[in-house]
Amino acid sequence: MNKTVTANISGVVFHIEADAYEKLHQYLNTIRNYFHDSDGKDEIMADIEARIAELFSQALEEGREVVTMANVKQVIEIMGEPEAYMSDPDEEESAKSTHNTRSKSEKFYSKKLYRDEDDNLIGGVCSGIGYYFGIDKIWLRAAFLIAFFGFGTGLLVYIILWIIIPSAKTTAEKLEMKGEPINVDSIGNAIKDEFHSFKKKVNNGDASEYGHKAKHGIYRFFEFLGKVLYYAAYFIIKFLAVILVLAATLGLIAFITLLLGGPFDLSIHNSEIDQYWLSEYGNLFFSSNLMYSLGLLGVCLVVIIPILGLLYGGLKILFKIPSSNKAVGLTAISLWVIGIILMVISGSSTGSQFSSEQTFIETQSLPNITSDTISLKALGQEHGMLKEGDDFFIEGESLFLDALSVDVVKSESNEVELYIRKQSRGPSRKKAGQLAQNVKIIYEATDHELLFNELIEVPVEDKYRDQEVEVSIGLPIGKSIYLTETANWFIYDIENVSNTYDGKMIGHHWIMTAEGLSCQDCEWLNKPERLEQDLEAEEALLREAELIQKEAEKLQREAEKKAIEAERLLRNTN
Amino acid sequence: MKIENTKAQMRKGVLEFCILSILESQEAYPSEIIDKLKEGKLIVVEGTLYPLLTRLKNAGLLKYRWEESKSGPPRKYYALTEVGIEFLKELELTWTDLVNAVNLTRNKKSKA
Repeated sequence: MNKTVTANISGVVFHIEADAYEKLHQYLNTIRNYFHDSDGKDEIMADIEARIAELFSQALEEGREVVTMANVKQVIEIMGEPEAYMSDPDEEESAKSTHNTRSKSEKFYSKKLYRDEDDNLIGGVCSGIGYYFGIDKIWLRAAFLIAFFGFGTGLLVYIILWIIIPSAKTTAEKLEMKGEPINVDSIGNAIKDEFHSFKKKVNNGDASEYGHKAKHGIYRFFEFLGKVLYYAAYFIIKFLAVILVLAATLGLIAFITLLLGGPFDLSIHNSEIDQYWLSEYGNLFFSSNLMYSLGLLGVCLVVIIPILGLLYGGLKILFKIPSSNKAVGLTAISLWVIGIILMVISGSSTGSQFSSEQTFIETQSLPNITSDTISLKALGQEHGMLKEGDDFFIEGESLFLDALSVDVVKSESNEVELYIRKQSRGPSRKKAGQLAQNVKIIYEATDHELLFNELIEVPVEDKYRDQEVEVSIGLPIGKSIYLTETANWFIYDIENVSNTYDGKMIGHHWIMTAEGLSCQDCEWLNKPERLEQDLEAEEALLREAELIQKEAEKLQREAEKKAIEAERLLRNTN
Repeated sequence: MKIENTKAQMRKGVLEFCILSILESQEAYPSEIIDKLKEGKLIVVEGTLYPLLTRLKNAGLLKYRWEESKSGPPRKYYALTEVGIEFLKELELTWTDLVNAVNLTRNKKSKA
């Protein structure tokens, strides 16, 4: 059972099934929209409706009473789909001529951005934009070409525009595309026109539809206010859209820059580390190249898709781009979710690489250190290769990490010894142990010097698994160690009897006693309280001296004045 | 250059000429005109004819009268106006010239 609707088509009454009526109604509306610019639009519509009524009448002659969906579909087939109307090139011309004469009174936002596939090199993006702004497409093409060589951004933007801007297929769309260029002038004119026609309506008084209402000043005022607010809102929205587009573009550029690394590095320093792009660094953390790629892809999707969404939204508001199909949005959301999933997969697989920890301990004695006093120094210039904020770099087959800490303890024998604790993470304790064993420290020992490189060396294929080395220098009782300035790069929490912290231990000699390390030349340790008192006394004396000096200066000036006076008196008496 | 565009352009010029020619001998209502145009494959769907007729009428080349119909609403019967007849004559001359010109150039080409 179907519901029917009664409709009067061109003076004839029909019973039409509800869904069939809906379809027909939609069809006629679409056609009417296509003709809205043409002369004789009403007449054409009346003719078409008359013909439809005739076709229905013929179809119903077979004895049925109700117009069905099949009838409507048949009629549409005979009359033609809306697109067919406008693909008639004849109509295009007439519509264009009428459009031009009317365009001035039309609202300025009726113009829309389309791609012109009749006049294209690739996708007609430039021609379409050209129409929109009234710029010759050759300039836009040149701009895109230049931008293409600017790290391929032109290509990316072009592809995005290609996807989001629909092509002008029907004549109506082509007209919307080619309408009067939108610029400050045309917008201004449109507003003027709006106010003008409104004023005319109000002034014409009784004849106009505003007639009696217009006599009330308050109504007029609010009407005016409404218009002002409308245009204010219009511009604010456009302005926000511009900001949205700019922000999204900047975000996109920033992200791509980050991805590509090096070439865009804006920081001032310029050392070898800049040569390593994110890709090379990234590989160090992930379990495999595949996981790294998946993770990177995931991050790209998760970051870029919302940015593109903003860009799309902004452009749509800005250029009145007609909405495209929902598939784009659905695809975007699915891709975003896929991105999240990829990140989770990659992240958890990488996380498992860090799940276990193992330590590898070895002892090395240094019999060639014979001197009673050892100087602790940094080895080589390697420190200079690391910049602040960077913790590692790759050179050849090795990864260098800033992960060495050096301590000084009591030796277990009567020789200088090194107690080396290497530590690493890994997917299992066994693997972590292997990784820990692979870590190398770089040091040198002479008869009176001990030199450490503050970087530890890891084979690059071992990757970064939070490898660390703690070296304790075993110092026999009675021997002392001198901490030089450069030792500050790697010493960490050296215990001593006076609880002096690392930074203050630098530049002093420390002797190993039965109680622990003790300073030999820290004068403040002997009389720690005197220091503060001295400072206070010194300050008080200085203040006093200053006062006396001022007094002296004052007296001096007075003396000079008196002398001048005396001289003057002397001359007068002469 | 798309072949569809060129075809459409060619058909466009001929279409008006054909409509006027159909109406030369007798008056007709849109479906009759459509049937004849469909025979010549000049037009596929009816919808495109109505705007064209309206424009020719507005240009003063066609006039119409209403006639009651047994099946449905009254029909518009179109006929040529004086201007329309003159216009058609001009078009016929032009058409003959064009056909000659096309034949001439094409024959020359095939000979060469």
